[in-house]
Amino acid sequence: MIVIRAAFLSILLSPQLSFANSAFNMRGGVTDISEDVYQLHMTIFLICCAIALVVFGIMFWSIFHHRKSKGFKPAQFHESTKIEVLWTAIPFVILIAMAIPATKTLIAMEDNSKADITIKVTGSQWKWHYQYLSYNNEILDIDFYSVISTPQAQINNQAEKTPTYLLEVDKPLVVPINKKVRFVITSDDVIHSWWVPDFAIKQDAVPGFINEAWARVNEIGIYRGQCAELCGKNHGFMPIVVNAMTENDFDDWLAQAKIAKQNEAQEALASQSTSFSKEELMTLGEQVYVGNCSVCHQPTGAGLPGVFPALKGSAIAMGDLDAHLDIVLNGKAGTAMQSFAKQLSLKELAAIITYERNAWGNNTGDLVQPIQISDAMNPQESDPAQAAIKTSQAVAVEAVEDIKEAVPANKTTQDLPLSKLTKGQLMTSGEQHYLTFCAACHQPNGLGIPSAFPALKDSPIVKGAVSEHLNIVLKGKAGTAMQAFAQQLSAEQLAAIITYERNAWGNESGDLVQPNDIEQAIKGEQ
Amino acid sequence: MTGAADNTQDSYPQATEQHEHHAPTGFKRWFFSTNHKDIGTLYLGFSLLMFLIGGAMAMLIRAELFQPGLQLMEPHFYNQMVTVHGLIMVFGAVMPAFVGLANWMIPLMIGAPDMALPRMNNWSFWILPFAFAMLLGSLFMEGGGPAFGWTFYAPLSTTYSNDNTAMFVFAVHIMGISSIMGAINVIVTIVNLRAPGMTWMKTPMFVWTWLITAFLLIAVMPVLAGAVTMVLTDKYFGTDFFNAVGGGDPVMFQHIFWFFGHPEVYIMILPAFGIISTIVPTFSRKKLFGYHSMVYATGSIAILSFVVWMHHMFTTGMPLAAELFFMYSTMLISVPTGVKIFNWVATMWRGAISFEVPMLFAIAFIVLFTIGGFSGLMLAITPADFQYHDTYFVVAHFHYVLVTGAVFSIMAGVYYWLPKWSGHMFDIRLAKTHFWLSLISVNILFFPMHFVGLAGMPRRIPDYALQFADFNAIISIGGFAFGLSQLLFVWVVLKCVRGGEKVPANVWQAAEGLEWDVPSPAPHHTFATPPVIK
Amino acid sequence: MSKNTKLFKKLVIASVAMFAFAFALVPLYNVFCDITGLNGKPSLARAEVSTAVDLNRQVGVGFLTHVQNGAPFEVTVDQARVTVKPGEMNQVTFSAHNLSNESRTMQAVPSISPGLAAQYMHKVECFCFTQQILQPGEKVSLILLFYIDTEITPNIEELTLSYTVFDIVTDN
Repeated sequence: MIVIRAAFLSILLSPQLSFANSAFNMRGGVTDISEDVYQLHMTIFLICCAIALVVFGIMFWSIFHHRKSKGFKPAQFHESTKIEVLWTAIPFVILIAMAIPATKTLIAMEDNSKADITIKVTGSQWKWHYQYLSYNNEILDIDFYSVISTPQAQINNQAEKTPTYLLEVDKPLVVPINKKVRFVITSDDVIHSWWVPDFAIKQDAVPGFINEAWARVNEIGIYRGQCAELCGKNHGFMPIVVNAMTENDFDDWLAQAKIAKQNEAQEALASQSTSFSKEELMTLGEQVYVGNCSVCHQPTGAGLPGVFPALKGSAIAMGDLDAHLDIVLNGKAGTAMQSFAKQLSLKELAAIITYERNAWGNNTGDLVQPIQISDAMNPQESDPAQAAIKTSQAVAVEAVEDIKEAVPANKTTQDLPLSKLTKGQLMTSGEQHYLTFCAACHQPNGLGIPSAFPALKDSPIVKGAVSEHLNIVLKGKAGTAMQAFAQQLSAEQLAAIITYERNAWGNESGDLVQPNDIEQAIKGEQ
Repeated sequence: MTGAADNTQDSYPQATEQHEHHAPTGFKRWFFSTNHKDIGTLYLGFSLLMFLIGGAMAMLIRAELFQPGLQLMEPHFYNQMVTVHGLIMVFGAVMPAFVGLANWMIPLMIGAPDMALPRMNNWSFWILPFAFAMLLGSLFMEGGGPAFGWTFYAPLSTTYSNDNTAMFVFAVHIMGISSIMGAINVIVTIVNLRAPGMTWMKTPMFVWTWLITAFLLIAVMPVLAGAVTMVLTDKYFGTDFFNAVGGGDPVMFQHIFWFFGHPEVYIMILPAFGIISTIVPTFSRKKLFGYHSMVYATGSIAILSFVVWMHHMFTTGMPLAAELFFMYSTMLISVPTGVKIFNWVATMWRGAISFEVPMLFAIAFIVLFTIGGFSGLMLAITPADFQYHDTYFVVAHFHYVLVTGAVFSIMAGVYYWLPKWSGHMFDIRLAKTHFWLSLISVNILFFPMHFVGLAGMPRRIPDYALQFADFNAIISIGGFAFGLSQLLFVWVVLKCVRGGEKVPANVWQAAEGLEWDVPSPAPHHTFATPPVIK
Repeated sequence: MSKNTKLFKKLVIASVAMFAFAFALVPLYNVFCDITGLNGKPSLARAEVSTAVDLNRQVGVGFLTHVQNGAPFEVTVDQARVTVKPGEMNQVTFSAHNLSNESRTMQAVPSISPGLAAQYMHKVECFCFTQQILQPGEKVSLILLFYIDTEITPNIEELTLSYTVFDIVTDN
């Protein structure tokens, strides 16, 4: 008995010795957080085991010893306040003991700030899309789809399954180790859930909303996960593969990715001017079709009645080519049919459409070339100069015009005679008050926001007559966001602000406005 | 609804005037029945049928998962099976079984001649078959039945579902109306028809747990009805409750759903607590330990069940404060649940225990439900839940709670009261075989799910990575064995109904309660004159 | 009226009330989200202009655009990240391009992470307030004018504002 107890205790005290990374248990993972989560899991599990041992021990003791068949006579007790209070209170204490480490881990998990690299993860039916947004404050524009690469033949048991069956993709997500990687997660259609067990990250991808998670990977390696939220037919077939590499390797990878992106653009250009033969398009088309379309529309083109439409003999695949191009390129909102314009190359798109229009007896004879695709994608390649600028700044100003003087006057109650101030005093306090009361719109550098809030730097009002300047600050300007400050600020504050405005940012008018001038201007009005 | 109000006129005075031998037979007896025992039988029979249909679907699922790769079905059909299996088991098997037991036993336990609203009772049962006919029928239509999980998360169930979704929505509406009517009936019966002298604190535990369950039903079934209605209008009438583009939020669906869904979990387990609290004292030959704390624990579980719903949604992204609050509140539920388990163990302690079939199921319930409780506690721990959520660990958890919990308690109850209903003792040898086969196979079925879940297998997938293959084969074998064992249960029940050794009024000698005062089989009409409780 | 009828009626009323409550949960949820930042949805109402700046703090604001599946738009932001002082007015320009050869209507839906930051994001002008109609091939500049509330809790040092752009399908 003592031996068992000692053995149990040693397991309890050193959960890290037990079955991490086995086929039975949760993974310890490769981040500090995942390790914490694993320890937490083991601790709670062992506490539960201990409670179970005690409770079931007592119960089975009773079952073996207090049997009717042994002639045991039943006792008569049926309540005991003392013991009932006790077994309400003890679980409380145990729960508190569990809650403390859990709370600590949770707080660490939720700290998404100060990331070194930010990656946008988008789930769609049934693939993931990764976009690198920034790395060490450099803006990046690398993005790609990551699609399951397990051949259909393996899934259909027509080929030997490889060890990474269902957990392999064409392009894995690549991250550097020892860097804080932030994932911004969203969805294109239904709710998905991005789960990498080794990072202890599972975050739902919700259409129209963003979620965040982060990981700092400690070890290089390839980590595999799956979508964890039922997202339709192929929910089981959208794996996640993350390749964590050293910083240097990652930099190389990034450089290559940038080059590849340029090459792609050039290839696209090149393919625009190339015409392909029907055979070539049909061969490539079938390949791409099987990889991207057959999951829903089926390899036979027959679709799934009532769920995914058939392409064989369909009005779109056999009818107007433009309509066919439009649906493949732009998708159909509100259905699982997604936009393929950005997922596939021009050549692939041309091939796929050619294939759909000629396979399974659709024999339309139509041949689609990459140039047609690129035309359809860019209907009027209008020169950028013509691009319409749709600003709604006029609205912005109107919107704020009715900000009323409702702000209560916060005049510092000073009835003392107004003192004269030096330029230094005025400028110092002027800067301070300017930043508090004016910089929100006119900006700290006095440049304003073009066409929404006017600049003060080099402005005709600020550099012009002092009286005009005073007037607009004290009374505001009707129909704009510029409010009347006469009631809001004290004479000192106003004097300081106006002096500051007239002398800062190279305005250097040299004008000094004293509190007294303000008082007089206000009195003059009355 | 106003028509239903008229039902209230003919509660028990009419029943007292009826003559025993005028009970109708055949079609009329069952279709127009207002007798609580007949309706109880109908509910139980219906639930058994649904249990077998839902079980058959589970067998298909396990057959597909026996090996990696797609063997038998297309993923879309697999999703339909997962969805309809869940819906059938929750709304078709477990809930109607408890309503059936309530119908049979509550009037007998409180000394009432019948349910308070007998005609409504008839309605609440007879709309159920239509609901399930509609749900099952949709499977055979073009595009198939619902394939978005029994939790029908938007927008998978709205924008991205097929047109048969309307059938699902109406089926759920009807199930909801049925449940609400049943719950109203239970409350009115318990509140108004207890025998003179049966004060609240003398009311049997099963009655207590059902009373609290009925209030939960009235509180949350309408919310479910609201949720499906919103799904319907979002899909067909252009509303944007769950659509971000129109200002809605898909996650709001989950909030509304789980506001229903969590209390629903307790709707399926509180009556089970009542059954176990009835059976354990009988076979321990000792009064239930801590009756009062049992009642309070049930009440506090019911109340707490309204403030824990977000623990189903930790991964949807929520502020830290919300995660902490729902972690703590969920952990708190284990306190009253623990009290119940301790009370049962204390009831057995120094009793004179014997192991008749109902007691075997009750003991299995206590142990296995507690395992489900422990995994529930683990799931409550938010950081760990990020790893457990939506994996087979969760599947293992809720099957331990619902199969070895709710279903085992129903079987315990059926074995306990079957002799009272039929007047015959069941075949004990066969019943014990059924118990042992079920106990062993159910653990082969669900226990390894903990392992595959922890090792990283998501739920609701038709195919899986190779490292999960060995356990899945074992799980499937356990599944087939458990499924086949239940055919034995059907056989035991049928055999017992047809005949067998005659039993006295108090079948189990040590059993307490009014139901054991009436002869076995319980006559068509009982307690025409209410008994008086000392 | 018998005891049963009375209780029956009360319970029916309770059920109907709970059905209504399910729908009441919708506005309740929105209010709850506004207070707690549960879902990170910022207010779509036009905010008033800021009147004070907190000079002692810096908040990083990242911008993200996401064109919802199937929408033939290209929407980009000129600055992916800005550092602002709470209360300071800021302008960020987005550009949108209609890639299709028909007139399309787009609606941008904002979302903020962390959700708690949503209540501190005030938009004075935003293209997300209304639907934007884009002619075939049209390119437009869209303005966001915003400031971060000076009351923003100290532990929020960084927030991300994402716009998901939807294609509004008109029924014709």
